[in-house]
Amino acid sequence: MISTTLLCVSLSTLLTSMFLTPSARADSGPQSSPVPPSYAVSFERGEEVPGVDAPAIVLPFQCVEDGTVYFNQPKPPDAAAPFTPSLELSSVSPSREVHTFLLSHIPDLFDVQERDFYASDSHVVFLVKAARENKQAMKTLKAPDGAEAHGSENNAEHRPYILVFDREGRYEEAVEVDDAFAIIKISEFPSGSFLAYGYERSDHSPKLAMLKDDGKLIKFLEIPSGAAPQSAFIPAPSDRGTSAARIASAQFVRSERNIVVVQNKTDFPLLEVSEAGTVRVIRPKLPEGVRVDTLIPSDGNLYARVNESGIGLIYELNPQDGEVVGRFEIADGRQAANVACVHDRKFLSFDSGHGKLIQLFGKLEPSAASPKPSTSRPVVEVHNP
Amino acid sequence: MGKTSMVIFVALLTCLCTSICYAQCADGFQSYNLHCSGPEGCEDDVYVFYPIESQYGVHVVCGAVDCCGQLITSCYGSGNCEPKVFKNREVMKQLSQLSETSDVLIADCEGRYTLFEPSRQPRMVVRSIALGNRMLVNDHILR
Repeated sequence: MISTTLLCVSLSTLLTSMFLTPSARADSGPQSSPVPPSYAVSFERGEEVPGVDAPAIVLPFQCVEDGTVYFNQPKPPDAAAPFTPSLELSSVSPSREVHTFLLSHIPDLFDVQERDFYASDSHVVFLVKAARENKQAMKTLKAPDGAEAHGSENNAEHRPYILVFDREGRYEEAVEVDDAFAIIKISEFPSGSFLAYGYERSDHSPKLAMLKDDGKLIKFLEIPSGAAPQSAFIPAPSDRGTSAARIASAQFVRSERNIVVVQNKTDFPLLEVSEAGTVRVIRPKLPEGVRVDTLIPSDGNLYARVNESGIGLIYELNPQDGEVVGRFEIADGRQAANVACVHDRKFLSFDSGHGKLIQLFGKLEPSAASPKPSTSRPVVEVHNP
Repeated sequence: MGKTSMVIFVALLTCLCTSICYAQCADGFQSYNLHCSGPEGCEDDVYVFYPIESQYGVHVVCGAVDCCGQLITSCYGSGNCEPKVFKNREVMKQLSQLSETSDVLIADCEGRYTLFEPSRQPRMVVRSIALGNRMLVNDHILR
């Protein structure tokens, strides 16, 4: 009896150690919750970024390892396609070198409509919807108030593609994406495989999937039970009288060789996905009632913009266990949303309020404020598909 | 003392600016993915943009994008945005007169204050008027 019990314990220990990542194993011991240090972040103006006038920036920014920042701008629609959204992606390096990524002249693709982009250290990839042919046809469109508008549109079948660019904005290739589910977000691992987020068309359940570099589905990743909503659709009032439904917002942020999936402005946890397809749940130990809005790309810990209104507030989280290890209050009435990235614990932001894009560099000063840490124990959940 | 040290908070401008900046200027955009269904089994997603309203930034123009034959509102930026109230000569004149005897602080839509400097008009280069007081530091508005 005793030997059987010992065998079970040994097996259990062995299995546990096999299925836990090294970082998770390191967190399995007793934890203490010291009050994390607090800082005030004020910004000093840097140089104006040349060649970027009246920027209209879609937040949040993206940022890569070397501090290059990427941002989209919604542009006036093309006269030939007045009801098609138009976006333009630009990047700004720390030395203020600007690159623009143009989707209007992709060989053999027509009516290219951006749905998402992701900047990695080697590439910039776009998720787009596009057509292989150009079949213009008149179409009648209906406004929410019942008014009708007429316009010519490309009537050919539109399919999802991943467009790959180099870091300087040169187009490299278009990859047709497996249409097994509706993809709304894309990201790229260092190996060149893709991580896609979207929803199942039949029941609208959220889906995470790995795609090969040729766009073919490798596998769906199993999201741990309770770590995502049952439906990716938000039961909210429709957009000004239409029957449109909002799709829950998500964000991909790199964390070393992994990608963290942020389910923005919800109580659902962060999901860290490895290149092997392992999904690990990270539950931020934020003060009661505080949720992660978005993560700020960084080269170290996770920096979470949170929902505390009135002040720009950022919590630094240990990616292994979600513990708060720092708290940053943005000074001068600025909003945390404008912080583009944290590089070597330096905050980089931009001022775009004067029709110009101006670099801002954060300066940290210790602050007396301290958060009320959650009393709950750290929880690390590891899921192997 | 040639100039009083009294500080006048131009609260009126806060009210004016609220109506001016609403839906006209933005210092950023937020995006949404919308799903729609339409006739003949059409199911589609569309990516739309709405302004983060502000007194400054870019001028906002809203149009519509097609999603299964339905037009859905989406906005974009179109050029630099300057609050109209400060282009009004009478308002400028009154502020200039006021600033001869007082320091005039002007609030923006987000409750941040900056010193009105008539000599530096029309581009009011802004400086901090209270070093060490974060609430009053603002180099961000009224250009």
